Formats: sequence, structure tokens, C-alpha cells
Amino acid sequence: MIVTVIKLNDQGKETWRYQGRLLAQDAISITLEAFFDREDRDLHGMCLGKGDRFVETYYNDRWYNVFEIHARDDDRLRGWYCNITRPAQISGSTISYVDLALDLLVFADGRQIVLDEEEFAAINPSQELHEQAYQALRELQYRFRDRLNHQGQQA
Amino acid sequence: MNGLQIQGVSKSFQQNRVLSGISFEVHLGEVVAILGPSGCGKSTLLSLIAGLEAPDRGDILWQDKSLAGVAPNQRGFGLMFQDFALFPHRNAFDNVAFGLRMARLDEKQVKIRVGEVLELVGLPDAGRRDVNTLSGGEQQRVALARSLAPRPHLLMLDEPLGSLDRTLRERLILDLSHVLRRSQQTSLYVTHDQEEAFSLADRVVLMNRGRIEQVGSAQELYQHPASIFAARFLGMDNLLEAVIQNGESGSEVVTSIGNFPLMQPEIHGKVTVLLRPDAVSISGDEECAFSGVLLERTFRGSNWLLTVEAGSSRLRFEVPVSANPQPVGEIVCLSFDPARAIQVYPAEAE
Repeated sequence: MIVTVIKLNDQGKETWRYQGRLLAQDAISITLEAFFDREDRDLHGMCLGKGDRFVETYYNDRWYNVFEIHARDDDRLRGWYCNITRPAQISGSTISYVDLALDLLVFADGRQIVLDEEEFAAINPSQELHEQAYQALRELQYRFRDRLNHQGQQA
Repeated sequence: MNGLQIQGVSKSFQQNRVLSGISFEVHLGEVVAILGPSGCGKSTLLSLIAGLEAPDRGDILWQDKSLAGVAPNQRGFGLMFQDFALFPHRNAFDNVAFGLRMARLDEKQVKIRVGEVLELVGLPDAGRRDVNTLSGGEQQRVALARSLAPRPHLLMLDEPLGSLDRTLRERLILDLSHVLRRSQQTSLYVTHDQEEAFSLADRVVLMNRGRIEQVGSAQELYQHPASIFAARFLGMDNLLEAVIQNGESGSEVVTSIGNFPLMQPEIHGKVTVLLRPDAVSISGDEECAFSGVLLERTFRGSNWLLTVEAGSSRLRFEVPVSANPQPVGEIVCLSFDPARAIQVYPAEAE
């Protein structure tokens, strides 16, 4: 099944739209596969290539989404790109989410970088929005914490 | 009454097995510590309980109901961890009120509850203080108050005192233990520090490489470490390679420092023997179980710490002050009750 993803800015204005293939869905989340269709770029040391496979999970009850990024050539895990967002609206085959600029980049070896804190501050969030966003960021940081410890420990 | 039940939970990330077949329980009102070295899967286990990740296998239950598919914010669990900093430039009151306001409590109730928990953590007058003006210890108390405020069914604390210095930590552990008990807060406390675990928890779950090594009270773990890992992790490292042999008066443990009667008849073949450091005493020649050269003796106020070279091993023992050991360099005779001093484990796989 084909799913359409609509990214909105904090004003609710559409900034990006693309399609992916549905992989899994339950009451609170939806996971899809999409392919990176912009030119190759370097993201703080993580190379993103045109055609990289993104496994994207959206939640209707959490203030973030998680993109697991695999290299186009050998499907090797590059890492995760996580957007802090308002909870996604999932209806039928359409997912829309309001992006709050703040992001967490997690490398395959577990290193983490918080991105675009200034950009988030610039949208002038209310106290509640600010706290909710940082709560979500910390939840994500926690969730990815053990990845660093388990590199090289095989099943 | 059953609180939290973890039943055969496993989790892998890509090819990395992080947790294997984890099962244990936390009863209502109980404080259980998850103890283990860094990287043993403790934080992943909490992520699964919190619902941030889903287990690959097994189930997690709260009061006999499976939590599979229950969203994190519907579980009513709290999570406090070291880098979960307070909101800066806010006063303590607003920080503590965060979860209550998220839960849409009215301001009057918020005020009452914040007052209660600030009182509970020993900071009744700190409400108006900017958190940046609080000391490290005070900030930890405010963070604890924030976690307790929404009355979580289960509070999970992951190395909450990790960034503080040793002295402050020791004091806060006692306070924390007191607060959790006074509020009868069912809690899971994750740490790599055995003293922290032992002084805080009713029971300890000892983990290594994604598996449970042992579950029990601090006393049970210390008196009967269930594995070589458990013994080493608890600081008991008088470990000798040995074999079991049938002697004239039953089975014996044959070690490089002597042969001793075997008290655990179910074990055979190659083994590792733990000689407990606290179960040996200095004796006269006639009761000598083994002897060695005294390499070091350190007076520690409440006991002597001896380093003895016996066979080809260096062993460490604690003996009472009254034992009055001979000078370094002399031969020391040691005796012990095998039932208390010796624990035998199957040899580690190579």
C-alpha cells in the first residue's frame, strides 16, 4: 500500500510531500519505507545518498518520529534521523505532521547530536510547547542510549 | 499483589542481542535495583518497560494485564535519568508542576501536590527558587520531586545520581531510600554501583550481557553469589581453577593451595572455586587449611586486609583487628569452615 507523508511547518503550512510503502501499522504507529530523493549531502558526518532507504515510524501519541536510514548500495545502517514534531495525524493512507524544527541525529555507532535548537527557539514556542518538545527530545535520547554500548556485541 | 512482571523478554537491535530471556517481578511498594556493568542492557530494559520500544519476545505486565500495545503515556510510569535535566530559568515549582499541568490538573491541585512533594524531598521552601541557583544535590531533589508528583504507578530511575560526587551521592542515596519508602513508591532503580543498589533496594536483579545472573536481596547475593560473574562483580575475586576428585572421605576440590571437602555434590569435573575473603581466619599450625606468604597487610580500622601468596595465586582476606597478623614476608597459616568459605562453580567456558 502506498502512503502519502505531508510535512507541515509550525504554522501548519505544507513544506514537503512524498510517498512511501506501508510496512507495518498498529493503533498508535505506522511504519513505511521511502527512498531519499535529494542530492547526496553530508549531515554532520553522516553521508546521505540519493536512493538511501528510509524506514520511517510515525506515532499518533508521541512528539517525534524516527527515520532509520540505510545506505542505497548495501543497505548498511547509517543511523537515525529523528524529528521532534507534534503527534502525527494518521488517517487512511495519509500521514501529516507538524515539524518543530528540533532534531536528533543518531549515528550507527550510537553518537548523538541535537540539531536546530536555535531554529526551534525562533518559532517562539509557548512554555508548554517548549517543555513538551524537550521532554520528547529527552525520551528519544534515552531510547537510543544503549545503542552506543552494544556496538560489536553480536547476538 | 502483583505489580510489574517481566516474562521472558528479549530484544535485539539489528544483529545485536541486547536482552535475552529476562524474567523478574516488582511487587507493589517494592524498590528493586537492576545492577550491572555499563552496556549490560539496563537502559534498554527500562525503555521496554516505559513502552518506548517493544520487546521482540516475551511480555511485560502491570497488575496482571499485558502492556503490549499500551502507549508510553497511558502506562502511568515515570522515568528519571541522569541527563534528564531540569528546565533552566524556571523555578523549582514550575519544574515540579510540569507533569501535573500536562495531566491537566487544575492550578489549585497542582499547588497542593507540588507543596507535598517538595516537602517530601526536604525542600519545602524551594518552590520560588530558580533551579540554576540550586546546588547539585538540591537539583536532584527537585528532579525527584518532579518524578514523584504525578504519582506514577512505577517510578524508574536510571543512574539518577550518576553525575554527583561520591560524598553527596552517599547522602542522597539514604534520602532517596527514605523518600521512596515513605511514599510507598514502587520503583525500579538502575545502577552500576553495588553500594547504591544494596543500600537502596529490597531486592537486586544482577545483569550481565543482556541476561540475568541472579535475583535476590543484597544479603542473599553477597552470601551466595550465583555465578563467577556475580562473585567478581561483588568484589570477591579469590577465584581458583580446580577439579573435583573422589577422595577417601567423599569428593574433594583439588586446588593449587590444597584439597578441600566438596559441599556441593552436584558439581563435577573442572570447576572454579571462590574462597570468600571474609570467611578465613589466622590459625595455629595444627588447624592450618593452607598457608602462604603474607605480602601485604593494611589496617582498615574495623579489620585487616591481607594479601597472601599461596600456590601461584594472590588472595585477599579480611580478618578481625584482634587477629593481629604477623609481619609482612612471613608465612601465615589460615583456616576456614568449608561450608561457609568455599563456593564452587562450573569452570567458565573457554
